[in-house]
Amino acid sequence: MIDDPIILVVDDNPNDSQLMRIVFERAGFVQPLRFVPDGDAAITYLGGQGRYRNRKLHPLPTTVLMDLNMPGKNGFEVLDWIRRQPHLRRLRVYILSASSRPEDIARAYDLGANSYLVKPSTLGGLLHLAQCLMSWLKISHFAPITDAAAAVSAPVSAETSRTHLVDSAV
Amino acid sequence: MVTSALSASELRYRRVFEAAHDGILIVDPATRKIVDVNPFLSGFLGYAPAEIIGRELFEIGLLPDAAAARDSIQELRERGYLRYEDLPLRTRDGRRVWVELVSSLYDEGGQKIVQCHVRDITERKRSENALRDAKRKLALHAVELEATVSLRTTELQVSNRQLETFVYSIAHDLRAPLRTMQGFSELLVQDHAATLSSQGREYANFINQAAQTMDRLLSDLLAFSRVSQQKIELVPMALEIAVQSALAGCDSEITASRARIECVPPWPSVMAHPATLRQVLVNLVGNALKFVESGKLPQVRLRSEDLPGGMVRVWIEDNGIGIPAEFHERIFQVFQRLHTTQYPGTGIGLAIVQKGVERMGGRVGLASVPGSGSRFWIDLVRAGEHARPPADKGDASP
Repeated sequence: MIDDPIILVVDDNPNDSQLMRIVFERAGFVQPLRFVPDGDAAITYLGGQGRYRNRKLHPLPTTVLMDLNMPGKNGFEVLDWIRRQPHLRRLRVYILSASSRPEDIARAYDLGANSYLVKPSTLGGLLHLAQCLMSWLKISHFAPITDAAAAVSAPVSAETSRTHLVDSAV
Repeated sequence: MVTSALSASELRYRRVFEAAHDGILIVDPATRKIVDVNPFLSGFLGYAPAEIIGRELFEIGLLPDAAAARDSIQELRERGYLRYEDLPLRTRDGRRVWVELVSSLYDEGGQKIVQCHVRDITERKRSENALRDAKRKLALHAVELEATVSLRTTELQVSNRQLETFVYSIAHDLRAPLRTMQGFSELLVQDHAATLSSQGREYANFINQAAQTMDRLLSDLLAFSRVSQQKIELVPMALEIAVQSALAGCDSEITASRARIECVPPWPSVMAHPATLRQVLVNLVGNALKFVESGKLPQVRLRSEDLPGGMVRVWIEDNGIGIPAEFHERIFQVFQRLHTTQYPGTGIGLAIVQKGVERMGGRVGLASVPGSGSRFWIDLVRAGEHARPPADKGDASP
C-alpha cells in the first residue's frame, strides 16, 4: 500500500489540469498533483533533468496519468520511452484520454500501459474517477519502482538511485 | 436453221454479258490471258476493254503477281472452281475497292475456258469495317467507362473515409472545451453559490445544461462514425444473448419508465457483429421506451420471425405515439427528429441502427400507425452450417 501516491499528470490542456487539481484534492489525495504540459516535458521530468533536476521539488511519481493526443511527443511515444528505461519499467502508467477508439486502447496496452481510462465529461464523473483511483491505489500492493535487483540488472544513474528517498512503497 | 438458232442463242447470252451489273471475264487457262471482258467490269476497273483483253489477271490488279496467277489457274484445273470472298484491289485511277471473285473452269467442246465473276462488294466491306470500328470503339469506351467508375468509386471511398475521420476528430476535439464549460460551470454552482445571485446560478446552470446536451450530441456522432468506419467481422450469434445484453444496457431506462418488456422465444442464431448488434438493439429499445405519451407505461415486445431466403426478422414493437407513414424513411437519416420539444434526443440513434444493420448485411424498416405504436424490424442473415465462417475467432464467441 502506498501512503501518499505521487501522481504526475501529463496533459496539454491547462483547463483539464486545473479541474483535476481541484477534484483530486477533493477525493482525498494528500500529495499535490504534479503537472507537465507535454510529452517532452514528461521525459525530462521522469529523467530528472533540466528544470526537474531537484528530486525534492520534483519527486519521481508513483503513478503517471497521461493524455495521448499532445503536441510534440504524444502519449504513446512517452509510454514507449518509459518502458525502455530499466529504472522506470515498474512505473504505473494510466492513460487518461478523451479517445475511446479501440485501436488507441489496444496500442496503449501493447506498449505497456497499466490501465486505460477515458476522460469523463462531467465534474461528477471526474470526481468518481479520482475516488476510484484513490481506493485502487490503497488496496493494491506494488513492488518498489526501483530496487536492488533492478539496480544490479541495469545500471542506473545517480539521479534515479536517489528516488529511493521519495518512493515510499513498501 | 441450226445456224440461226445458234446465233440467236449467242446473241441472247451476249446481251446478258453486256448488260450484267456484275463483272464477267473469260480467261484462257492455257495462256492465262483474258479473252473477253464485259463493259461493267472494264468500266468498274477504269480500263477500255481493249486494254484488258490479252492481259493476265495480275496485270489489271485482280491478283497480286504472276506466281499467284499461275497458282490460281493450277488450282482451277484441279478443283474446277475457285472463290475469293473479299479481294482488295486498286482501280486504274487508284481507287481502293473490294471484290468477290468466283472463277469456274468449263469445257467448251474440247477447249477449256475460265469464266470469272467479279462482284463489287466495296459498300458491304465499308459497312463491315465501320461496324467493326464502332464495335472496337464501343469496347474501348466500355473499358474506359469501367476504369472511370472504378476510379470514382475509389475517390468516393477515400473521401468517405476522410469524412468519417473528420467527424471523429471533430467529436473528439470538441469535447475538450466542453469539459471545461461543464466542469467550471458546475464548480461555480457548487463552490460559489453563496456569492452568486439566483439569476447568476440560473445562468451557470444554463451553461452546464447546454454543455451536457452538446456532449450527448458528440457521443452519438462518435458512435455513428464508429459504426460507419470500424471493421466488421460477422460471426454466428445467438439472438437471445444479443437481446438480453441490450436489455441489460437499457436497465436504468427500463426501471425509470416502469416499462413492461416481453421477449418471445424462439430466438435463432444470426450472422452479426456482436457489439454492433447490441448497439442497434439498445437504440431501438431506447426509442421504444422514450416515445410514449406522458402518463402511459411503455410496453415493448421483442420477437423473431423466419423469412424466406435465409433471413431472420427481429421485431421491436411498442405502444408509443407511432410515426406517420410519410416519415418512415426520413427517420433513419442523421439529425432527423420528428419531435423536438417534448422528447429529448440528438436524431442520430436510428441512423446508427440503419448503418449498423446495413453493415451486417441486413435491412431495417417499420410498420407504424400514429396512436397505436411502432413496430420496427431488422432483418439479419440466419446463421447456418453454410454461413459459418471457416475458423472461429477467439474474440467472437458470444
